[in-house]
Amino acid sequence: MSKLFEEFRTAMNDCNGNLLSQCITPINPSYDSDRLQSFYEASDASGVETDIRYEIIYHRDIDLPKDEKRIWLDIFVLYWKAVAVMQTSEDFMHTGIATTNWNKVYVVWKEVANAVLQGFQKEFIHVWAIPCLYVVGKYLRVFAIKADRQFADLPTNGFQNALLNAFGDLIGKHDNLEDSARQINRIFSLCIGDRNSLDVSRKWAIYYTANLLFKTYFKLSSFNLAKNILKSFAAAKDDLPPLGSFPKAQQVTFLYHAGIVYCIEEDYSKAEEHLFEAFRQCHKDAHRNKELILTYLIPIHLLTSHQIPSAALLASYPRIQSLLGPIITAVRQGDLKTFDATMRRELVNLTRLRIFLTVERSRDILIRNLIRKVYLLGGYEDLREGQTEADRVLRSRIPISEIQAALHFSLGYEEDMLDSDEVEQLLANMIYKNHMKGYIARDRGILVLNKKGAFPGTGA
Amino acid sequence: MEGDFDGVDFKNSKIEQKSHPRFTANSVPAYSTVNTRRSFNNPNLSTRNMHSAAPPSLSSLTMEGGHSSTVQPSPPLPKSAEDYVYRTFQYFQGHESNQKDRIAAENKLREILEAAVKNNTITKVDWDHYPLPQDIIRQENLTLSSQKFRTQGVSTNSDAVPFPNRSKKRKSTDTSFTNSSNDATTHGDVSENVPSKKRKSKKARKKEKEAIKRAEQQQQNVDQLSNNTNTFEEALQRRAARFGTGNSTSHPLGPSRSQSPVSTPPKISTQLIDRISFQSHTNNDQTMYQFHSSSPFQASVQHIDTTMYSNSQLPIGQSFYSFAPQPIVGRCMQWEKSYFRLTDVANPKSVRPLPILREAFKQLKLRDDRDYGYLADQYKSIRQDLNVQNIKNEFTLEIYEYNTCLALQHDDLGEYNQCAAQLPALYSKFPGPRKIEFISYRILYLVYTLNLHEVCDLINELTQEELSSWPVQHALAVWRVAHNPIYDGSGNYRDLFILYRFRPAHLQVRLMDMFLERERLLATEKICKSFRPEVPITFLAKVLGFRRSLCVANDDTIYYTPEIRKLLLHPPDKALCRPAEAPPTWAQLLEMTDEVKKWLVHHGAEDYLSVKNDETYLDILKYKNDATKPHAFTIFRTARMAAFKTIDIKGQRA
Repeated sequence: MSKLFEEFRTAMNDCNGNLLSQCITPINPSYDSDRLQSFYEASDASGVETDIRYEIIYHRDIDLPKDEKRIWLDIFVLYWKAVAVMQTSEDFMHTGIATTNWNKVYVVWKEVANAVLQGFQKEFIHVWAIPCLYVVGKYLRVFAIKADRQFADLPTNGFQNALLNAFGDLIGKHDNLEDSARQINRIFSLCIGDRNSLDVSRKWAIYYTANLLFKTYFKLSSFNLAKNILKSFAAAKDDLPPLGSFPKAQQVTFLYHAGIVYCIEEDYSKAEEHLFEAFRQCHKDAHRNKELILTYLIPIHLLTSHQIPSAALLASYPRIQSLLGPIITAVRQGDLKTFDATMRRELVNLTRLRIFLTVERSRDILIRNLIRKVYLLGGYEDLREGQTEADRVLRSRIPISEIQAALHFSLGYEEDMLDSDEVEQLLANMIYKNHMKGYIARDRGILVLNKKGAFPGTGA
Repeated sequence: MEGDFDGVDFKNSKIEQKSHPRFTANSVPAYSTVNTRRSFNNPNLSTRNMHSAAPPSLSSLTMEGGHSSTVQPSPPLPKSAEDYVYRTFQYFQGHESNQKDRIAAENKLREILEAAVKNNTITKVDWDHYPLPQDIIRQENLTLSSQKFRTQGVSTNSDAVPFPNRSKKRKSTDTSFTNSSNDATTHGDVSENVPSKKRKSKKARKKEKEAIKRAEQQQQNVDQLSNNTNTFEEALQRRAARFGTGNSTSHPLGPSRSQSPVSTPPKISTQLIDRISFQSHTNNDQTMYQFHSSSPFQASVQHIDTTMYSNSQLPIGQSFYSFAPQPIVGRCMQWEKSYFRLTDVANPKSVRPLPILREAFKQLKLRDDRDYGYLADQYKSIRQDLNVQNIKNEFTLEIYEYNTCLALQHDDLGEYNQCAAQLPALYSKFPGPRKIEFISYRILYLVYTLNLHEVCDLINELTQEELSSWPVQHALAVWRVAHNPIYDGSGNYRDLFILYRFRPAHLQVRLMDMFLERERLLATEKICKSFRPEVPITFLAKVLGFRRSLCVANDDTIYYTPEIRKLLLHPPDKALCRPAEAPPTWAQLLEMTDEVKKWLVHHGAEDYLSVKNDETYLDILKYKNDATKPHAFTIFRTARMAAFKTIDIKGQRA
């Protein structure tokens, strides 16, 4: 106990926020592997307040206003309680195996979070100590997930099982997590609503808490709530410190989540902007993070820039390779049959990532590639009088029946299942979206392409 | 109808009988009463299972009543404790409480049960008389707030099983008891004005005093009335006879009931559910009667505590449903009732019980031809009655399904949304045969409200079988080809109109109609952008879904045309395919072109129509060289943008 408070006093005297947050972190630090246990054992429920009082209020090495001391006393008493619950194993599930009751831990931790939040609200805790907010917020989420999982993974005997069978739908699978989202949201609004000048503003904690919120909402599938975070950022954007002045880790996480939100909304240009920046800033060895970013960035980039990833890039991310590899190949080759089959097969995986529609939209690029092939295979137009070899252009009038045949071949249909209406629809979409330039002369049954730059961005 | 309860003989000795079992109940060892009640409550149990949708495993486990331990030796949760848990949750289900209270109560509940199991007291504790967690919490809060008891906060020791504090409040409760049955119907209304959860303020105390005064006065009135009217028992029997249940001959509150209650086997098995729920409702009726009668004496904070204790002293038949303030059981006997938005606790006098609601549904079905305003109002009030009584069974599902369809048929999206929002929860308990149909509505609705991404969540919740069913397949295909305004140019118009023409034979068309117009505008815009120099109107009629004779397909008789087959994620068996549609006849073509013309004119494209060789064309290039006039493309672009703009999440047009 004394060791922990020594650190606490050092942190307080040096205004060292990270060290301070270490003091209320509910896991053992690397340099002190049984800190929590010894902290727990150093006191008991009845004496803990007195013990801590000696360490904080009466100690001569600490010079703080009385109110501030009181706040920290409250926080540490609650922290001790939380640690106490964590250190006690109980057989509350009646499995014969004693474990920590995470639900109880969550409840007590919520009180710790409340106390810290109050300290900040009343401005007894200063801005240099915002890592404390990070710690309480982070573990709110961690403990809530643990509590939910513990309740959901109940063993197959005992009354809780019967209970869950009967009342599972009333209890809700994510009750704790939903509650934690509300708590973290309180922290978030406390930070974003701070009107102090920037050097003492709690706004320095917004990106960290926003990231916590994003994670929680994504887990709860509350897309609209996640969107609200971006809205509150947009509303406060004039008063916020620039994103670049925050730690890299926070920047990347924020950009990644914001990118996904835009992607789900199908605002692909904004999504790409955010995800690309996230990818650029991402630490070079954070392989898993890069993989996550690329899972979204690759299909989006395909839509916005019509570019597919190189084989080398895909090879270093086998998971993306297996999910998107066949689709990317199909897009490049103009292979509708493989594309459709893959979409069918990966329906569940892609909807879980919520990129089904995003990937589906790249079918347009595939068709453009296919039509471009027809265009290139069509050969050159005959030279007219006065034209030289340099004026030679590709044939710009393509019979729709040729495109129909190409689509038919690409789809792998055995019988004739494609009528000209459908081909015209696809062509109209291409032209409308500027994938190619030209028009459909319906009465003559031909597609008339621009002589130059018929397929913008492809060099032909 | 309610008049039957007026003028009950309150001075009758029945009151003595009524209060009697309460005192005996306290002296008898708790668990023995539990056993008796179990056997009585078997029919009730199944009702309850219906209500709570406990899976069969639970009911099979618990149907044995007191012998549940022989079925499965390990679960130490006795029936009475389950009831207890159920009551805890049901309180919050029927009740608009805040999330915080609910979670607190849940945690408390876990704590209590864990403590009980740990101490091996789970079978010993008298769960029927044990205060509910939310009441314990309230008690704790009260104790905490009164400075004296600050140190006794129950939360500090979870092992101790907290029994209700016999505090001062208890006294007033008791008083209310002795008077409880005296002024039942006359004061039923008064009780509903009592807010249930706030601390007792000065004002409340004043109110309480007034209420006592009032009640005393009315008591006198009742006493005068009582001599020339029926007895309480008779009234109940007549009521039972009216429902045709034919049992429950003993006095419902008399001592005989608490020992071995009558429950004759049902005559017709199909009516079992009706009967069972009816039984529980009649039982319940008595309790409601009591609960409301005692309320004039309760001031805000005591409201719930009082009823809780009162229940604890009643035979279980009553105690099960009757925790305050909800759910209630109605006693309105008229099937017809128009909707009235409640601002307070419902009055059982104006709430119809389940059998009457069934009757109402039957009657309303006969009146299907009445105007929608009437029907919507009636169904809304049925839903309200189901809701305040917390009835959740197959009938509830049927009502919601029916009402959903009704609202759809009349393009009432507000009501549609209200009903459809409840369906997922109901389907999780009663997977009805129409589930896939309503899933497909849900998808189409999300397409209409432009919440395309939410369909992903929906897909992940479906089973493979549901996913490959025709209505869901169809809706998913629509989802894939629909336009999302945020991603410009998305969507495939022709595919969409094929899906519009070839669709399941239910109400999908109603939902698709809602976004048909805007998709049509977009399609025209696309055509105007990509076709030159003009397009014949017959072409527009063909690709924009103007064709009248629609191919509608039922789930079992469906034969897929090649066009539709291509659009489905899981293409059906080849055997189910039929050749492509024949082209429209001349007469059809005429009709279609007429309609297209009207539609184009409606959107201000009259100028752009031209006639060549007896064919009408949409002249896309008109005003090509005239900068003062818009192109056809611009007209449809503007119209399309406006059409996609005005949808909000509830589907109401802004």
